[in-house]
Amino acid sequence: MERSCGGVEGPIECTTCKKCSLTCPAELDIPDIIRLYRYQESPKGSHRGLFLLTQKMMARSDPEPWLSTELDTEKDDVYYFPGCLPIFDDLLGWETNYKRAGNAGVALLNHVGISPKIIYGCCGHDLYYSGNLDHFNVLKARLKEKIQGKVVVGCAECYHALKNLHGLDVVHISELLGGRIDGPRVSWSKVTYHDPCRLGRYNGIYDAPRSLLGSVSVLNEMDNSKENSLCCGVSAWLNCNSASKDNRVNRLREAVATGADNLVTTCCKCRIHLDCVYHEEQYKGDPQKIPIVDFQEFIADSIGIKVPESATGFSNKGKRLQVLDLTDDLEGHLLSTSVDNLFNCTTCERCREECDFEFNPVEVVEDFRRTFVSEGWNPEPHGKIVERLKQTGNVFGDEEKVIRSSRATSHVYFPGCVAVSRRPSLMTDTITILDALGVDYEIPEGLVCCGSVLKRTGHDASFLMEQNRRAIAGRKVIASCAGCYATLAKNYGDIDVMHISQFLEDKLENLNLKSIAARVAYHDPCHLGRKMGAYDGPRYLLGKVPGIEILEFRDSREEAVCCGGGGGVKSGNRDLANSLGRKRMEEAVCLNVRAVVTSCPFCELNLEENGSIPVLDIVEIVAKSLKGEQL
Amino acid sequence: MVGVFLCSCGTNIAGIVDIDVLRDCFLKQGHEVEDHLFLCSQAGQDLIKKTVREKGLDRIVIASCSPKHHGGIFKDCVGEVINPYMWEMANIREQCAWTTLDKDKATQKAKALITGAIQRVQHHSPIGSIDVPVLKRIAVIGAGIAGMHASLELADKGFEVILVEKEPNLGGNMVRLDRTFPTDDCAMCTISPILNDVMMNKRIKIHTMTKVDKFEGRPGEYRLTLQKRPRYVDFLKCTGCGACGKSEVQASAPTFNLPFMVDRIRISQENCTMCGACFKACLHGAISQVEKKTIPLYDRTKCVGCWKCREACKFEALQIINVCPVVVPSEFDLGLGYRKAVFVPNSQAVPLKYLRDPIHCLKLNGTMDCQGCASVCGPGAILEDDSGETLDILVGAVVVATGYQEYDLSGTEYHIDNPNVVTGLQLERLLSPAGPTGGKLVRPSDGIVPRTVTFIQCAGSRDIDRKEYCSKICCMYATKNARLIKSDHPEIDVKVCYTDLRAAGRGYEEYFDKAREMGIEFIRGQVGEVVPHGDRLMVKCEDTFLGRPIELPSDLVVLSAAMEPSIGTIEMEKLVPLVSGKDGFIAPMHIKIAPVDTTTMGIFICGTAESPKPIQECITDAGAAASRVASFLGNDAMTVDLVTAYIDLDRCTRCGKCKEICVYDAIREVDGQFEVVDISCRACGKCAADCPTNAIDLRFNDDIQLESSARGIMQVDKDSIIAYSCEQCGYNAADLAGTAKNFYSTEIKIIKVPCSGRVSLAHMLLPFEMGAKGVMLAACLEDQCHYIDGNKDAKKRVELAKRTLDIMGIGSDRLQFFNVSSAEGDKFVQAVKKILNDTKED
Repeated sequence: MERSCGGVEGPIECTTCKKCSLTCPAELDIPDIIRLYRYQESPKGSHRGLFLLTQKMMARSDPEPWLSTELDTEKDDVYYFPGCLPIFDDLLGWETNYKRAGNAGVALLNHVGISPKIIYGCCGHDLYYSGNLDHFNVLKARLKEKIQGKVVVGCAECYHALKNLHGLDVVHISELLGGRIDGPRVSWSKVTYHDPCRLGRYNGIYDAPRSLLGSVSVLNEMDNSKENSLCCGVSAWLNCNSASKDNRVNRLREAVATGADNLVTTCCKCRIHLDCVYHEEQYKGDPQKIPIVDFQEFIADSIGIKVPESATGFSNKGKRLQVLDLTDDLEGHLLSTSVDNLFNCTTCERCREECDFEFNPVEVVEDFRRTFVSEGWNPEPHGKIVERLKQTGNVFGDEEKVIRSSRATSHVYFPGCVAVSRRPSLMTDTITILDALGVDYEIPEGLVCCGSVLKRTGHDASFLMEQNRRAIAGRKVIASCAGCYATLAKNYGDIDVMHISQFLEDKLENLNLKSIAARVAYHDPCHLGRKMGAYDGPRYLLGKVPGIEILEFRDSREEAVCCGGGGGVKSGNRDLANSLGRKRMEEAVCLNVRAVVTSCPFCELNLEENGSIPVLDIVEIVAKSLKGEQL
Repeated sequence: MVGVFLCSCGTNIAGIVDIDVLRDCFLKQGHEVEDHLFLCSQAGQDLIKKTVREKGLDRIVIASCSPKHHGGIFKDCVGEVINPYMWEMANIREQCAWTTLDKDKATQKAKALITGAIQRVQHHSPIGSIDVPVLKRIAVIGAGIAGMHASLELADKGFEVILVEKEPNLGGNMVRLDRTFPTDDCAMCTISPILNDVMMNKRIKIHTMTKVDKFEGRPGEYRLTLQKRPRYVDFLKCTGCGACGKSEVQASAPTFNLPFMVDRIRISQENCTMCGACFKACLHGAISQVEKKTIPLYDRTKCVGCWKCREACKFEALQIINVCPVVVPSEFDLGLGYRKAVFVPNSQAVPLKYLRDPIHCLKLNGTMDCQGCASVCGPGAILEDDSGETLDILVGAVVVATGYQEYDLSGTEYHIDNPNVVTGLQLERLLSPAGPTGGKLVRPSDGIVPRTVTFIQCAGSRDIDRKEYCSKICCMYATKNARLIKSDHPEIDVKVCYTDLRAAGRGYEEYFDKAREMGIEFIRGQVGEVVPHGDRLMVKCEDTFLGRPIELPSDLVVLSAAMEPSIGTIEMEKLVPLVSGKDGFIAPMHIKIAPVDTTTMGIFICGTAESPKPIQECITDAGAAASRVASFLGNDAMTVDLVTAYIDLDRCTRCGKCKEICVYDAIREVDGQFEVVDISCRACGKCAADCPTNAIDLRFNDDIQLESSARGIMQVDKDSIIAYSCEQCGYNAADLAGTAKNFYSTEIKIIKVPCSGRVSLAHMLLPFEMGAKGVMLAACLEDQCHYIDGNKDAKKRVELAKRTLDIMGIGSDRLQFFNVSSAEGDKFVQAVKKILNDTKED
């Protein structure tokens, strides 16, 4: 099998914090794509791969019962899953007692009259997210045998893994204890609460821990909390790096700024990674020290429950691990996620804006799509597009060639398939303006589709690119379409290209523009805005047209919502494209504008199809103004 | 495709390992396989080179003897056709064929070792080298006998030397000595020619009263900032004539009991005509005449030393007896003599240049506008002001020769506050003809010749609570001084209380025997206390032969105080990236095979900065250090193979762990980011084993290479016990076991690592994940790690991993660490037997 993913560091460095998924217009499960990517790459993991290795071992080992023997256990039909805590105490190399969290958890359960059965072992969370899916499946089968009932967990990762990945009946200890714990008997202290991604964004559990903390302490929130909570910076032991460190330092500064005495969290990993900052040899007092405390321990200590010491004295004779005969089942794993998930991405890059590490999931999506295409798992309509392009060089299979040839010119006008076949008015208006300005240009023979659609959907576009390079012949290119512009600029690498809105920016003074009295809303095309960073240019140009009043969408510029048509979604999943387009147009209705203006014919196509308000290109507005027409 | 070359080594390998089976096995895997009766022969090497060229191979595995045996030959051979790091050696002779008589098992083990090597070599990358320019100039810190000798040697070899000394004069402690053992020749006579040679040598630039303030740079180009203390006397103008030093201070005993200030002028009653001219001439009110025709009175506290009175006197009634009125205990004489505020440390000081002590000088400390020395100085060398000097020097290498000092025994049972309890060095001053008593042995308290002198050995040495080590030279110098006293004063009763007498050295035993013949009493006695006994002292001790307490009344007690690193040595340890031993002295890179190298390349040590030693050893050291420097700076540039560590800056969180771990100062912080200094890095890999972000790794022996070796072995044989063995000791011990046909189980598969400290926790656990029976680490002996403390790091890591193995139910017995020297093949086999026994499965 061809493994095309490679060379992109982002998917390994991603913390899978899920911030991006929460803003994705198509609600893509991006972490799911990431873990599959990692399955192919077998990343090593920080700490020289140590903790991924121990997890692989834990998937097959039978750990010793390390919780305190003083605790009351094994009487009720409820399970408690303390997780991997002793491994971290043993191997991190600095003095810790993370095990105490597990003892505190059971002590709390005992306090409310529960004597749980204890399941020692690993939840497999890190195996899953590091892409060690075969090991994970071994563990999954073993846990399924061991656990037949409700499991209580105190760790966010265990919660997410057992509940969502193993499909078990899981309750977080904060949910279980809610209402069963009374106020502090020791003293009130100020705390702040760090939302672990796995409990918060993954499972929406924001309030249960807070309400319990509120009943025993004074809770101060950090600047970024709940959905916006900053990630602790590392997940699945993969992404310890300088960016992650900066993130952790920022998080700790936020915590210190709340004036809290303790930073409480319910994830052992968050604790470790935040603690780590303080254990660095070069730590010199910034960020200030704040104790990072486990939720279970904090509650137990606050109400004065004794937390007993862990058991010791394990046998130094033991069993060797069974050798695991793993079969490489990429196909099985890849198809375990829905192909739709991958092909529903509009490549709008909204996710990139959200990422604290400036990582671009779209690159992974496109990379992955190549794998799928090579296996023939791509949506059927995409295949048809490829056929059409191979035959005609036009996305829509339009045989008609638009050629406006003159001699050797300084510029090439690149109208793009949409303008040629679906929005000829844009092309003719552009030609009108270019002529009015006396620009020396041609639409040369042999110009074909820019290849964007192929690139975005995981196909090979080199045959188109070669043809275009020949036709352009090193001249400056003016493009109508945001998609063509971004592709020519980023994928070709050797083309000097401008979007028409940029080209016209300093030239409207030379035209005799007449007033158009209208309120319009400007929609940022993803490939012009987020992809190429052109936010102000089109607005400036539009503002030059006398009489035009520009209103902004609620989500605009970097946060603009996609029209829904990009990335092959328009052809591959028309329903999704339509519903996204409708959403955007409903917003426009609320703005009470005469028209929606944008600078990408593809956006125009999808938006217009899904709304009642006219959708126009900036160029069309300029042309109307030039001709003295109104909207 | 990898080129696999199998050596039969006559029947050495082929007699036990089935080469045909191996050939088939690796051919089937698609590799290019060749075998030869003797691969190391010219024909064998030609076969390798020819095959590589013809098949266009870019990586090779050579399965033959130990790399310690013919590794060098094969590296050169491979280097002729491809990059000399693109190959790996599988040791199927010493560590396979010679460890068993079972042919099947041996063949199976060879297959595993070769597979490990094949998998490892897939991750090799070509390694280049860099040329780093070096400066052919050396800084020698400390101008004692070792530093001076090293400087002369280096100057003789044609190097430019900058000799830095913090004292005003050269010579260190040796110039304090009276005579030296075992020849009893005069220390000054021995050292004087050396002092002069150093002074006269055009290639040696001397900076006295100077210390190193800052130290930076890299091997081959170190920048030292020197801070020169002000002399307040023009170094070039001062002729050392001694006019300013004129003094008539007399001490009744060599105990410092003098006034702080003495008269500068004596008025002769005989010559004085009571004319009052001096009184009129004195502008400072230092001379007064109560009434006419009386002898004027002199007030030393008002006299500024303008000498106007003396000029005014026509009758030569006024005489200058002290140019400088200030009297201070002499540092050079260790408090037994005195000096002035303008002084030379001793009359034979080199350079013989005066200096002024700004703390006591009346002019410099602002007490008065004293003109004493300035107005008598012919050349006009006395400076109004002097702010010292700061200078930066660039050198290629540094020799640290900062020496020792005597351990301070004040406040101890030896009652060193009693004037008649002196240290060995103080006795040297009492015996020295240039000393405060002119070489006359007297009791400091009253100047009377002692009747009994008792030496106490090991004062502070060989004492768990003070200095655990033996100071090495005390037995001999105490014997020497005892002999000198006895021969000059046969009537004096001389006793030596010793712990053990150590007289190992050429002529030492004979020297000691002579002392005994002379009637010096040697008592094996543990001294409990020295207490005043009337005007004498009582040494209370236990005769450890007879096990009974004895009391020795004494007039003078001499303590052979422990030698400890001098303040200068301690300062250098803080300033320069040096490793200090637990005794506080600077640790050599290797106590046996690199005794004058330090852990930092380009920095060498000699003399007592390294450990207590006699003068002749200091000289030997200094010569050795000079020779090492010459090798180091021999060429204009050093060529360094980049097998060193490197840092991925995107990954690096700047936590500083690697910098702390590195004992070679090979990791520097530049503008907030860490970088590896290639020529300092010794590629031990300790940093890589502990970096939490994987930001640092070695270019050769990196994580993935070591992992691949283990994976390859485990894939062939799940019942393996992986033995990570350090290249310096463990691996050699295993080779030795094989050479001695000291058989051990073929389950043991050895992976060579540069240092046991290179083995990370993940490396320790990886074989277990693959189902291994056990893992062992064979490291250098404790405290003898070739990379200082890598074996300690490894041992700590093993302890952590053991806890995890217990928790996981795998059992900590399966992971074992042991220390072994290169010579202990049997110990290696014993360790193997132990782990096999501990991991026995029913």
